[in-house]
Amino acid sequence: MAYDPSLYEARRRGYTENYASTAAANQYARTLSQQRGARQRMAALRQYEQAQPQLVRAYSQRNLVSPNVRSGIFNRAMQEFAGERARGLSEFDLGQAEQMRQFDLEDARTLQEYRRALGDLEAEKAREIANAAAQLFAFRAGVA
Amino acid sequence: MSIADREEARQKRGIVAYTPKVEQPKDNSTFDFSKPASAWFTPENIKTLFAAMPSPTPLSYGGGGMSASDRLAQQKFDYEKQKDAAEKAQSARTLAAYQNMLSGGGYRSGIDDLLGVIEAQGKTTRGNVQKAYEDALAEIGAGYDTAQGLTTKGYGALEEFLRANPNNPYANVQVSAGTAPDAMEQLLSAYGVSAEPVRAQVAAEQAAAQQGAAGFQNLLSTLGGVAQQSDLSRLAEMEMARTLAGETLGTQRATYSSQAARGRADALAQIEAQLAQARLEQLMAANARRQQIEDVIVAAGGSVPSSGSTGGSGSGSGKGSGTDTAVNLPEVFTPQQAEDERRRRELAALALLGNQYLAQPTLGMFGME
Repeated sequence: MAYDPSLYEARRRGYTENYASTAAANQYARTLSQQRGARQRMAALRQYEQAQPQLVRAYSQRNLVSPNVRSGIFNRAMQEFAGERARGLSEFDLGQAEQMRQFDLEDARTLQEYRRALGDLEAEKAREIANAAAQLFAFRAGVA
Repeated sequence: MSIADREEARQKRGIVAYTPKVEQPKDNSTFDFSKPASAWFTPENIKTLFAAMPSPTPLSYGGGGMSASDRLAQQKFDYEKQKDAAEKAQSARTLAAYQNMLSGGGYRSGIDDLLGVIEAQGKTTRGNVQKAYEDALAEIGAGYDTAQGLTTKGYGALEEFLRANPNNPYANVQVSAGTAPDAMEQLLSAYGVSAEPVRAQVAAEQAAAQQGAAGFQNLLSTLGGVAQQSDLSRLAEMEMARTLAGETLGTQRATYSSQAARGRADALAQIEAQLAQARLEQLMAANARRQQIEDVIVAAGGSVPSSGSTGGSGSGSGKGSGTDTAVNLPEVFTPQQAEDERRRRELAALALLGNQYLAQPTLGMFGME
């Protein structure tokens, strides 16, 4: 079979378009996830900011806290509140980071697949050129 | 002797001299030699003596003692004698001509010309075969160079691509543990609450996040290592494929060259066989003609001139020498190849000659004793 470079160019375009669309979709999904995570984090922060005065007010109404009073219950409640806030934000950030890593991993895997396909294509092309050269040689030698 | 006797003598291819009959004295008893001579010459004795003398010979014709019929017979005899002599001379000349033709090789002059034509045709055909072989070798060489160039260019492009596009996309992935949330230390401090437990928890959360990032980094490193190994494998595969392609082309070139050489050898062998057959036919014709001449000479009572070879290398042109079947090998052969080729052609010629011809001494002219 004679060597036809146009076939390889068509396949190369196919690989590139497939990679571009897949990577773009992945990147877009990553951006959306990141934005959604940022909104959710801000919402969580707002909730913690809104909850904190209510917590102080509740203990103040029970005279467990005042400018001159610092009860142990109030102290423990504030530490638990701060700890709960930190744990919530950390878990949220960790989940968000894992999602971003998943997107990054998918992006890298797609890129690897794309380059592997291009490498296979180039190797196949080189082999095809060598085979075509051998056939041309045979034709020229008058044995084919 | 009668005419019939002379005819018989002629048929025997011999010449018998004529001796005329002489009549003897009928009676010489009257001569008494014991007596003195004077006593002999008596008139009576003299008369008797003359009467007893033979008559004149017929060749003299002047005598009156030969009859007309005897003279006619004598003339006929003379004519026959002269005719015999002329025929003998003609036979001798013809015999000498045949002998000269045999010893001088003239009987094969036309055959020598034909052998020359055959040899010239063989030389032309061998030259054509050699030219075709050289053309084929040139095409094979040019085709190999072209194919080698294309193959080198193709695998060169592959190598360039692979080295310019190392396939390790995991190396560029950024891994971060993220920032730890604050411990609300200012707020806790404002209420006089210790932030130490919260700081410890935040540190624990940060440590967990860093462990997760490290695990992800390990994953990327593993995948990157696999990708790099795959790249190296592909480069090695490319090198092997390039080497194999080059070796394949080299093998093809050797094969094609060998096929061309074999084709040339076959063609030359076929040509030589045909030439040997043509030479053989001509030489057999020469031998047949020689045999005919020898038969004629022997039948005429002559002797066949002896020559070293019955094949008759004594031709004036020298074309019918013992080198009739000598093989003019192409100069492209090495000495060993030429020896092999000569032996092979001799075997082919022997096969053509056949056993019945090998038994003939005339084959000495082929140089195949």
